[in-house]
Amino acid sequence: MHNIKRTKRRACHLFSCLLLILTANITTPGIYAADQPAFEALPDWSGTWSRRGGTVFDSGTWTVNGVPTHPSQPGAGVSALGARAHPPYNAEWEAIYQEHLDLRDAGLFPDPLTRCISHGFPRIFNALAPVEFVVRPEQTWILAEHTRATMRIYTDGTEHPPPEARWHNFYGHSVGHWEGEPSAGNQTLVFSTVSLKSWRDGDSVLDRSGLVLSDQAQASTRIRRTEENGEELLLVEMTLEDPVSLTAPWVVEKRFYKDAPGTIIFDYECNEYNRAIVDEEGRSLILDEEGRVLEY
Amino acid sequence: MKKHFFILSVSVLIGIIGQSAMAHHSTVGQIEEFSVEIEGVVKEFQFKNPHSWIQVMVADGNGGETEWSVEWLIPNILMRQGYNPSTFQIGEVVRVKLRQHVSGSPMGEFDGALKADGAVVGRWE
Repeated sequence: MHNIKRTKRRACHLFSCLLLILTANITTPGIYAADQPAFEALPDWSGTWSRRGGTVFDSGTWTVNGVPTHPSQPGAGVSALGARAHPPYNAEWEAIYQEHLDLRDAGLFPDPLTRCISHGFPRIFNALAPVEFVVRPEQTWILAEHTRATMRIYTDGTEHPPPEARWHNFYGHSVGHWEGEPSAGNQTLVFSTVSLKSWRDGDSVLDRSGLVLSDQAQASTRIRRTEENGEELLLVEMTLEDPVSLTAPWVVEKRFYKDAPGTIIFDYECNEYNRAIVDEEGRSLILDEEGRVLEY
Repeated sequence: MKKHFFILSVSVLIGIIGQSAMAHHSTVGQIEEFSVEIEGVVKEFQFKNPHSWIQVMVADGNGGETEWSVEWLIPNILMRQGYNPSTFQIGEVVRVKLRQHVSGSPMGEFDGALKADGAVVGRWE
């Protein structure tokens, strides 16, 4: 009899704990799930997709070995796609950008990527290698081969945490929903991104030109599948807003074209054999086989 | 096999290859514009991220050898271009064109290689 009572008490205690956990989950912002779409209603974004149009947003600033050049010049690695998108900086941040461009031209801009720090958002859309867009009802995952970047976009009704509870990091916090008729197969993923650390700690940039935003930057992004000259592509349109650095919303786009069937994404461990370092002056230096710095 | 050290020529290969050639780090001001050529024996082929490296032992003409470090692209990209960790074999003789580090150190960025059997790796013009 005594054992039965004790078992009942334990069961009640367990039930109370479960109730508490469930209640906590429901009342904690950013955790609960609600209006996620049916799997059948989602578009087919399978396969791998490769960006065209350059690894920088503001392609008009592109240089080769410090010399200004047109993006289409051999070696620049960019095409006319994604024409110059100079951010509407205020004077203070325009000066920061110009300083970074000068450092870049002198080989002194300390690009975090050299130290194998991941792209972050929105630099993930400037990644060099193929990208996968994995669509699921509760989340969409953007998986970039380069730096093994992973970005999660919640589409299950999750909301952004309140400002005081946000942890500013490289990819921030993204929530969104789907727009458009499932029968058409070209729904648009619409999402917003907050909690970006951006240039706060000097280790998250938008591209190699030294383009940066503040940790108050937020983005509204639309991704949809479309076609251009008979080629399938995912069109990424972003509107970036930053009350600290920008005087107006900044609209940019990136285009990812579908790779040939069978294209494989390989592992990428940046620290496996990194012989590049950044010194205190911001110079990218190369190490010889013995780990000695090659000065220049 | 006796190894020979050659700086055979200053190549007229396209020299405008700067920031974009090495996605992972800047090479501004560090790499010569024009190619030089070396011939030697492959000591190691590091098919690893973030960049591949070919270590080549080159005779210095005085009875010794110099080890050259030749940096190549991201192995992931090379795999998609049809190369793999067996592209270079330890001990094989190769002629390599590279743009040398401005310090004069025996290292540089890979342009291409010509193997003993005539096979070309990368760009050989």
